[in-house]
Amino acid sequence: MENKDWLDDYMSLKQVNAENPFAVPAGYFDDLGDRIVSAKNLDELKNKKPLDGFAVPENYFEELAGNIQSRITIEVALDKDGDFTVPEGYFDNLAQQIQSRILVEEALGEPAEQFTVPEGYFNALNKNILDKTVNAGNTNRKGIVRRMFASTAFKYATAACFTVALGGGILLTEIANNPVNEHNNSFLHKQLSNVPVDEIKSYLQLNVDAGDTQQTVASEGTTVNDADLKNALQNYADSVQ
Amino acid sequence: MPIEVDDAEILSKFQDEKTRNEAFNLLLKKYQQKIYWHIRRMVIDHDDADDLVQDVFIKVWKNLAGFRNDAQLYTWMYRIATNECITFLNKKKQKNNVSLDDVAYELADTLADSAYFSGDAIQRKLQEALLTLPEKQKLVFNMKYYDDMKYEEISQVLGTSVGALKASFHLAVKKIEAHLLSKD
Repeated sequence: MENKDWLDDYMSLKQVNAENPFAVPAGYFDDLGDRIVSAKNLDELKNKKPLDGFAVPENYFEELAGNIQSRITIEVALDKDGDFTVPEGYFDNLAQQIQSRILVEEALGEPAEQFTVPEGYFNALNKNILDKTVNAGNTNRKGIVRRMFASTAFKYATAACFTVALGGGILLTEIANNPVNEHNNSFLHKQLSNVPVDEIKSYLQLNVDAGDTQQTVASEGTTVNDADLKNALQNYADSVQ
Repeated sequence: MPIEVDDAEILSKFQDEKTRNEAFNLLLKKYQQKIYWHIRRMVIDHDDADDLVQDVFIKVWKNLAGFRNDAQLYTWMYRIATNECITFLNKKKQKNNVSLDDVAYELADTLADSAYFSGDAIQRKLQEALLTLPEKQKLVFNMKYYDDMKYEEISQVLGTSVGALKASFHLAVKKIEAHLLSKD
């Protein structure tokens, strides 16, 4: 069955219109050949190896226009900042001028600005750094042991306590041995304290003679001998009885 | 309009660098439509067919110098075109992560929406039936039904024996008939 006679065995298929049911845009085939040739030429250009052996990175020419445009934009922007100017030929001579100045300063022997360090500084520097960094942990790990009873602070505290105790004891003793306090605590003082003051005054006014010196205990600055006063009062009391 | 020029003349001119472009233009004029329709019946869409036909002829240009005359020139070009179509359809399947059946459904939709289909309802039904066939059965049917090719020529294109091709063709026609007779 090399021709369409085989369709006689397939009636349903034979009834189908055998013409090509597909269509193309108008004039499609008129320029298809030219478009195929153009595609072929473009493909050759893409794959063509340069005769001189030089090559360019992939997509180089595709990106070239964009790269050039970007560079133009950047350089235009940079030129806008060119408000500062320099004398003509400045940069051309700058390197030589710098070199000459260096030679002149060296010839004059001007000491370059120098910084100094203490003697032996660098010799100890390494050890100092290590002590503060790597070895710092070892030092700290030894710990600090303070003996409480031998510490200076404790000694001062102990001394202060003794001083306070001693002073307090002396003060209390003084207070206890004070003649005034002693007198106040005596039997005579207690008996006299029961006698009204006005009565004592009246007695003294009635019984004062020319030989008695009018002297009161209340006089400022007058010192009173307690023993004499006691004897005087005792004598008086005996005489009255 | 395809021109009538001998394949031997085309090949002879192509061997000479000075006349190579002329030979290629002759080749295009003689075979561009045949190759285009062969592709178009496989991929349905005109724009896809347009891209593929250009790719096919670029490959022809690159490899024609090595053509050994062990087959006819147009069967050799048909083989290139067939392989390009199969590669295109496989890429479509992988790109959309679908099976070949789903690609067939997609092509059926393209056929339904295509502005470049001028066939009647029965012709449309025939094309829909073809889309349900396996690739090789469809190729055999198209080359037999539309291109009037001999089984030996189809064998050179597909690299399949004549007997196997006859069997494939018979199966294809049976399926198409069943589809045409169905009420869908």
